Amino acid sequence: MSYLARSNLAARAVMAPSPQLADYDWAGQKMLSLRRGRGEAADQVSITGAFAGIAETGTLVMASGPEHPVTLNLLPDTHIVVLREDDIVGGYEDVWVRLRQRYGKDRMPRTINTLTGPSRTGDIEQTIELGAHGPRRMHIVVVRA
Amino acid sequence: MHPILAAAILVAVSQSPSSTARPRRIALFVTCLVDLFRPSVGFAAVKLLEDAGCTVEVPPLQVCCGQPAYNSGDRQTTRAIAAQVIAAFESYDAVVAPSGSCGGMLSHHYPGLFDDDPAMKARAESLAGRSYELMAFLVDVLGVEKVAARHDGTVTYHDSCSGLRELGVKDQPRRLLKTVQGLSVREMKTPEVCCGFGGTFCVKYPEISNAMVGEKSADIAGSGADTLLAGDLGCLMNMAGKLQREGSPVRVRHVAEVLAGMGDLPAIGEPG
Amino acid sequence: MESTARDFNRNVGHALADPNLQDSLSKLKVGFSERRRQAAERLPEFEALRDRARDIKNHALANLDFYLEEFERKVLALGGHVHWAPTAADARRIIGELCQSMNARTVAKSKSMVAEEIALNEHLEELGIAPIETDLGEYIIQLRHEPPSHIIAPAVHLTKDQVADTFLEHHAKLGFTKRLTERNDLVAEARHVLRQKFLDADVGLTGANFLVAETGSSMLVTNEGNADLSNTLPKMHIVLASIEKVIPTLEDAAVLLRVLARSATGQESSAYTTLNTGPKRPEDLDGPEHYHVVILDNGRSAVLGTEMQEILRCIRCGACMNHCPVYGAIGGHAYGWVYPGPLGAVLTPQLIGVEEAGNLPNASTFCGRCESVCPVRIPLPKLMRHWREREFERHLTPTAVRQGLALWGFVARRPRLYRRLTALANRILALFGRAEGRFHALPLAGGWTRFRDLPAPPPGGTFHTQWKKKRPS
Repeated sequence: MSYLARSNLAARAVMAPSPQLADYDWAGQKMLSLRRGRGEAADQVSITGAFAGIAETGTLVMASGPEHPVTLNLLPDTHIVVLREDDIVGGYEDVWVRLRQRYGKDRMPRTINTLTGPSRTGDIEQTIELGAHGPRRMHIVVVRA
Repeated sequence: MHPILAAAILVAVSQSPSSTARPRRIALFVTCLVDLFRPSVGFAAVKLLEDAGCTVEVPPLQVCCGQPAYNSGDRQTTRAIAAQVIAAFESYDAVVAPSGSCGGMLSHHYPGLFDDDPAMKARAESLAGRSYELMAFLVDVLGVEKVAARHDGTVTYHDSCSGLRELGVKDQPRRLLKTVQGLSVREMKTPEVCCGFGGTFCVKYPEISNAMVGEKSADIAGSGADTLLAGDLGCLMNMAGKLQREGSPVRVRHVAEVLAGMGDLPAIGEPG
Repeated sequence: MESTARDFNRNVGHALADPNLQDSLSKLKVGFSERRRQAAERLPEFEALRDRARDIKNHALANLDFYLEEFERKVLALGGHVHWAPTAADARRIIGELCQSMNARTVAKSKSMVAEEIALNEHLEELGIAPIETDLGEYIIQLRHEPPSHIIAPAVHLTKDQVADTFLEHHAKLGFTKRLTERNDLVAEARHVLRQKFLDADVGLTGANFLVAETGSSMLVTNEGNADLSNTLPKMHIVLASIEKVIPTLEDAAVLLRVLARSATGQESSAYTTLNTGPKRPEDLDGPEHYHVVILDNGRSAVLGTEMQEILRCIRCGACMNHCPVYGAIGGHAYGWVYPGPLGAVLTPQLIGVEEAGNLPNASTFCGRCESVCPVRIPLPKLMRHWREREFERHLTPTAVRQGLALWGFVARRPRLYRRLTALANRILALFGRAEGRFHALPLAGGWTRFRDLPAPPPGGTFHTQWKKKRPS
């Protein structure tokens, strides 16, 4: 909330409809207006959880589903991710094991997005510029279990 | 690591202390360009090998290693030439060339020419296992650690592609150069980038070759060295020709010449 | 894509005379290779990973039919569709019909070299469907009606100023009338223009870096996130991939990802790596309702079991061209077709014919730098040499070269004749070159002396002549 104020952003966000996120005390943030659902073109800030974090590359793993619409990872300018410390694993291989455990061997979620830092492009003179298409800012809030 | 290189290092580790005391029968593979354009490189190679205790012979029936045909896709001619080279050299303990490109041809490419001829393939493999580039042979096999030579000035060293990437020639010439009195090495920015010679490439695609060697000459100039050294005469002639066309004062020599104390000869492309 | 590979030498002339291109290439030559070197050094097991990556692709290629069928089975089980396209024309037709089934007016496209290979955009335009390239580099060159010049950086041949002019020309009608000078402003403007196009698109089309047989997933790697928008917002997601993209398991993908980004851009990981598996599930709040995978052969299966099979290991990282001194001199367009650099020198003759692309495998010094950085250890020089041998066998090598080789080969097989002729040549060259030590011009050596002097031999005879005198045996 104070981050949004400092960044001069409206105190409005779209949040993934996940029970895990619902557990946190959002009502305590009186000025924060939250919508739960998929991302829309006008959304400025999204708040989502994450299926896992990969320590090797600082990567977030997002599994799509009714509790985590893919559009929340892509459309807003600012993406705030709540990552449980328990969900941080070593490498991709650990993620695959967890995916098979959670979803079964033959039924992957429609989309697994793995995100390593904000959107970027080097297409003009090989110089990296952030925010080509996806969020320009990404914040990861690691929550102790 | 390539098995042949590994074998070479193994030999070096196991034999280097005694090898200088036990002369070996070495055949010098002169190479076409050295024979025709720069005989002093051949004599420098002989001196370095003899100083290290070797007996050096020059088999009289040697010709070219066959690369012009090989790289032009003419496999039949390449095989005929390779068969002749194998016959000329197979009775020696080792074959040494003052060139990574020709040395690599013998040690890396000959066996593959005879996949359909087991008898020839065996002979090609046997020769391949005993074929070396000069710098690698001196340092890795004979265990040479220093040379008795003096050369006043600063040199920069270009890593010729075949020597570097096929045979692992990188540190050996630099280690020996450090023992030359009066000499210091200044590296260019990209010593491992091709100079644009490429055998027939440089005359088949002269514009591309020119762009490549132009960039190389700028890198050489940027090093501030007064002399350019390398281990392959083709690359050296290409770079010398470009430097001289541009009016550069940098002089160009084969590394063996400087290591053998023959660095006072007229440089490549200078009047004698 | 129309090939100009036959005009290679003319293309080279244009490329070397283009100051903007040369300016861009001078940045490329240091940038990519230095970043790759640092990335490889930071990972001690990088060389071992390259071996594993090679082995994974070799295993997949050796069992390609099995893994492709397994992939198809998984896609079908989750409600997706798989279409087999033997030729480029088949792939164009299938994709055109899929778009028409959606009454599509626009297609949001994420960068796909296979789409370039089958000339998809031209086909869609003929059907009245507008393809919108959404990768920034592809978008820029689409506006300029140019082909990509690099497989991972399609607009790498352009300078910032050229991009600024292009945007002003095309975006003015959208209200962007100021010519921009900063890169981040150019990126922001493209983002703004393209965002609406994503939202409006009826179909999203992406390529795939890998098809994972285990799960029936297509895996795609980008830095911009454009592929993710393409495969999430439109109602239909079409994946276009060639047969050799299939790999067995997710674990294999992890190994390949580790070498891919490091080899390509020097990143430890690209920003977005996405697995898509089937259409959206009934309970999902977003995602495409239709999911189709078009699998293209286009001459690749003919390579299986031949000496050229190794090229099918390629994971399209671009390291070979980033490290190629020939690419660095002439850029990608000179190669005349979709795939430039050492990859193109091997693959293009296979896909469009060696008669058309015969120059490409010849325009190499065999310096071997490409092979030394290839994440799946493809012996690119060896494969180029194979093409030269095919050309020689089929008498496609230029007559002058053949005659020269025949003469030289005749002499080189006769040591005594060879020795006499070289001694003669040595004497003549030494005599005429005596004054200056070199030649500025020489008959029959124009290819050499046009750009550089030819060093003359010093007096005294060939090495063999002198050796005989000094050490009579």
